[in-house]
Amino acid sequence: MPEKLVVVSNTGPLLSAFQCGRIDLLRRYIQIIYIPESSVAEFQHHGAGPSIHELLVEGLAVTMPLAVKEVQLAAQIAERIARSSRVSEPGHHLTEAEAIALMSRPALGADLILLEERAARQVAREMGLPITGFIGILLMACWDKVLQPVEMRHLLEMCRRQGTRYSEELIESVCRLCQEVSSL
Amino acid sequence: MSQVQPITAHEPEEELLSAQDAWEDYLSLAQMLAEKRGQKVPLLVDPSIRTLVHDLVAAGICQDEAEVISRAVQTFFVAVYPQARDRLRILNKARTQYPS
Repeated sequence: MPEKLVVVSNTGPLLSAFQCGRIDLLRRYIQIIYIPESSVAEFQHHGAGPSIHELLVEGLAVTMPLAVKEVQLAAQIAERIARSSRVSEPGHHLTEAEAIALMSRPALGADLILLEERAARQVAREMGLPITGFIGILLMACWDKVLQPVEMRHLLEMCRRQGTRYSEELIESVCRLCQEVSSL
Repeated sequence: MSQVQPITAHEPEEELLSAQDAWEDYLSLAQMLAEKRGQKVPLLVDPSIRTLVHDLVAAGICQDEAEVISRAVQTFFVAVYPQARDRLRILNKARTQYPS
């Protein structure tokens, strides 16, 4: 499958992929994952320093520093996210905001932004940015019949056991979707 | 498959996805991949096929060459793969919901 996507990602979707050990599914659909330079520290904070380092060395992930104007844009975006989030401190949303600011850079040629957090996704959507997430990638793998519903459940439960907020209801619904798309 | 590593929770205070979000994520990814693949499909057919394509447009059966190809491929796909109708329905839905 030579046609792959260029994406910008926040830490969440990559952490989910690290948690369940399925970076191979990212490689299947993605050519380059741009991440804001500052997010490397967040990966380290979550214990994923070696994993992200591996992706950077491989070239699948590429860090991007933000230009001064993009830093200012990110600050404004963080405020917008904070207004519709349970966490009203803008600083808490800076990494998502930086990913959104990076996605807004036309020269990057990114096709999609990977975001998991609902408030950040809402702001990205309002800005007209195309969004997906780790579960979207898993469903695509179901469609392509490289992932079975039973594996899907196992992967999502692995992520949840490590603290990712995938509810039982969500896991159940996504497994049903996986079953549906696998049968088509 | 890479090795599984213990990684701590991300955004534990934040509300994450719903099933609807997950489905929309899948549709936007499907649409974007379809667009990418579409950019790489050249019309490398022999002159007689080109003439047939042209004739179908000239006769007003299809609006343009893209419609000829689209209808021909869809018809062929459904003929050789009966479940294709449902796949096409989902892809068409993605195309209308998430135009690039």
